[in-house]
Amino acid sequence: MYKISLINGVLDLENGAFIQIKNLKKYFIEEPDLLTKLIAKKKKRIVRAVDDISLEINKGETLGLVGESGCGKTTLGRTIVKLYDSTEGKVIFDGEDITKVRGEELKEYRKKAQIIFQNPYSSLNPRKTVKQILSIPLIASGLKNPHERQERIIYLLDRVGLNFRHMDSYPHEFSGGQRQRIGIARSLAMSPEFIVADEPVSALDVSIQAQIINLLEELKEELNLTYLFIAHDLSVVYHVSDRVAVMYLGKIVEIGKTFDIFFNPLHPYTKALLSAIPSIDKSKRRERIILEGTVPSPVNPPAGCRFHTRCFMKKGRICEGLEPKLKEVEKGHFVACHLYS
Amino acid sequence: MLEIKNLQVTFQTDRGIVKAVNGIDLALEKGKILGLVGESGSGKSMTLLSILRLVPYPGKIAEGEILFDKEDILKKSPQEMRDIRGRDIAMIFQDPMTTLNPVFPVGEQIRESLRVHNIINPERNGFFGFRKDKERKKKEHEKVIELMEKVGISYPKRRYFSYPHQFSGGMQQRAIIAIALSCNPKILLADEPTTALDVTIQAQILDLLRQINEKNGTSIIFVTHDLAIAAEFCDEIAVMYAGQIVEKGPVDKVIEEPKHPYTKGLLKSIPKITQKKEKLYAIPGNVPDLASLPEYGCPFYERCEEAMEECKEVTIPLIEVSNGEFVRCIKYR
Amino acid sequence: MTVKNGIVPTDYYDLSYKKPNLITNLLSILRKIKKHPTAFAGMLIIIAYILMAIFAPFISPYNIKYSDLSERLMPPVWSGGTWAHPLGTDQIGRDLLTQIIYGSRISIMIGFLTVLISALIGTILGAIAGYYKGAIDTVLSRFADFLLSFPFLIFAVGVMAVLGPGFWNLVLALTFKSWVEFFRLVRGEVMEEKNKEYVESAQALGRTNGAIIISEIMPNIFQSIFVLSTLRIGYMIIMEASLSYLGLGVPPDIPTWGSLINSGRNYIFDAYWISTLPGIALVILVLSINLFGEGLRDILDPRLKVEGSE
Repeated sequence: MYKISLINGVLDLENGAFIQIKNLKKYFIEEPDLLTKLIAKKKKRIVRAVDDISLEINKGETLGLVGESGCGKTTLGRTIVKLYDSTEGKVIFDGEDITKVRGEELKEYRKKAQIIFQNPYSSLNPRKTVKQILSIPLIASGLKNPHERQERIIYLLDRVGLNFRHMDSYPHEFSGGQRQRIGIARSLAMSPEFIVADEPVSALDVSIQAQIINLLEELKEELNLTYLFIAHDLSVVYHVSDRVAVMYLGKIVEIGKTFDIFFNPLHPYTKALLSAIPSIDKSKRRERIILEGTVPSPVNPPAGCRFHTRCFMKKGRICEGLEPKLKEVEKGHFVACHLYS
Repeated sequence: MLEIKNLQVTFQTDRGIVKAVNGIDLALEKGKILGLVGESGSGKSMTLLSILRLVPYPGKIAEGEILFDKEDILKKSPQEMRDIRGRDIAMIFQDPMTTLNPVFPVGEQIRESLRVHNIINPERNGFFGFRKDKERKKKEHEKVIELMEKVGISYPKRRYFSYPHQFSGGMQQRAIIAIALSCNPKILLADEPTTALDVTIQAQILDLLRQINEKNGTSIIFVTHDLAIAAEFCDEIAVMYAGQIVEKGPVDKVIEEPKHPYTKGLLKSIPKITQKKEKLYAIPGNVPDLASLPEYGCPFYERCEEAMEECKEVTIPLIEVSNGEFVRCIKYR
Repeated sequence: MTVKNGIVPTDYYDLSYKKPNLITNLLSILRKIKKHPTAFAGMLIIIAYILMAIFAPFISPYNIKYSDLSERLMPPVWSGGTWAHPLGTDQIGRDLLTQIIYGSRISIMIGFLTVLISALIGTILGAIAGYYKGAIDTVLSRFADFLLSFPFLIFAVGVMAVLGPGFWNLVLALTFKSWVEFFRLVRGEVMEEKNKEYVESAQALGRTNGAIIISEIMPNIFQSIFVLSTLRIGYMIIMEASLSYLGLGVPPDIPTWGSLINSGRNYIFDAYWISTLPGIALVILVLSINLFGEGLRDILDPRLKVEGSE
């Protein structure tokens, strides 16, 4: 139904995947104030958190986004829901270019694209009751009648598995898993079509993780949602995602169907990532690839292929000079690596 | 080497007495790696802190014995404890950023451990100790460089004077391991040392710890919530729930043939990368509230899929199922 | 409970279930204060002083303007005086007890009013600076730093000398610098809270910046502001007394502790009570305020802080 084609090595997204991201960039510019510039001679720093990313998300799918800290996955998620303004590039949502929307149109977009946060302890205002927290999105989407609001809140709480009596409690009275459920209820309040789940289970205990993961999957089925699932726990990503994108230093290095990525990883970084996952099942343990060195800073990324400073399968000089573009190696499976060009 | 008998740690709160650790029996053999696995509130971190008697107020060690080399640590004087801490038994914590002091160079922090325990030149410095002091400082400096190399910090000479914030998370953790190793401890206590790190760095750190265990014969107690890490890394595992050990035994046995319903549930609820995707099993209910635990009966009763009426009433001790394997469950009475 | 089509029968929700609100919160705080001896004692004394100030005309033995020169410089009861003037009289025969009771009015009013105004100004500016950062933060912060470089008393003295005595002039002089304390506090806290995810969530839900500052962030920093306020009140009262002592406070016909202390300066060896007793009244009030404020900080801080993950 959706076509992905390649023009000049760049994903060309012509005909309507649900969400299309074209050449998206988000740079954070740290500019010291006048005094510091003059006296301490500090220059401005540009953190290239998201550096020219193009991808698409199909309606009803879960796209997993993995990468280590500093790779920009969190920034990408937040830029898509417009918590950050993008520096360059386009985001096309359901056919509409929402990159530069403001005011009323932005409000409309917010109803459709929501976000669930990682930390259940700081993502809820500790001074508000659950009812107040959930009322905010409901009022924003126009539900003025307090009775209707209350009914909807009761419904939402029930849907995420919480008793309606919890309405008047404060966040600190709940456990981590319950708080995360409240966060999920909040993101559902405006009946969105697309949800960015930013590490929704990382801060939870193992036995609760499974509950929340199951809840998210049920909700997806029932409400026909589309997810961007950001996580660093690869086992969780494997379980929930239809397709997976691997990020490194602001760029996508590999993207494809979950099965392909996990059982036929192409990019050296992906291979190293997968080899590092500890596994309970002895037979599934992979040969550990230990990467040299540490992740370079996104302020000064290496020239050419960003991974070349740590790459154990480096091809040669080309890796240091030329930045590889995403190329389709097998159906639906793209890699940005000179080994495949 | 280290034996814990019936350890109980209680906290006085305004909701009553909370038993963070409720009767633990553990044994660590020389040169082995023991894993303590559990979720939040299970009491695993508190157990480690008790070994070094670092339980924070308002908690206190209410009962029990901790035998290190056949002597009860809980009966030692503060001076003797200071000798043990850092020198015979060392500890590394979860968050490297807060463990290292941000205002001192890393090398100096490693050297501090050597200095405090008088590792180099243990003779006392007399009045004319200046020269001895300088010599000693030089030797300590060299030893620190040696340690930094041993834990895999590259360019140690340059990095000696760097500050913690100039190190990456993985390197900070290595620095902390260097501090822990500085006095060549017999036992290393590790409280979730890799939880705050990326998965590739985690692999490196675990590798390093394994080398230390193999080359120096250091015994390790490794606390984690990640069963997968415990499965790969430890020789023996103890699973904790609500302040008690519910299952204990050699790692292969516990992982492949789990006996306690909680262990079984945990293993089932971890997403695995297998050829076929299945729906995740989730243990119903919530992590227990330690302030409102029942006086008798099994603390896991409410969430247990195999529970029986009797489980609510009878308190079961740890039962030895076979050689070295223990379970706390009514089914194995 | 059956939920059909997202509609829940409203009668199912039991409205008699007690909801926590401001009153119950305050009551629970009061309960905690009762357990904290110094804070509780402080609070009682403060209340006593406030009542004293309010009901001054009713409880003082004499009219405030009454002065009988034949009864000047009478000692207090324990030094040989009579119960007619339990705390003695001053150099023009005014009853000291009456003076002290009326003096509390100015002190308390100045204390509370200046802190209220400084807190308001400081909070608003601090919130703007902390939330929006950038140029406006730089401008405001530098201005605040500039003000801070003046020693407080000298600054206040200067202002009063220029403007002359008067209640509102005094308030102006005192608030002009003290808003900076609140500015810094609020700015710091707003910057910290702004990074938290519940603020991001509010942004993601489309709330305006103003609504976020007032409705999301403010409730979280309110208690810090409150604690700082209680501690500053004592300081302001002392400042007022100092200025009055120097003759730069309110006009001389209004009694204040500071001017009382000043007027007794020359009699310190013969009639010590004129300076000392108002001084003691001042110290007790400020001490109580400080004890109360610190106790409040201890109570509010760990209890209402969001618990960490383990």
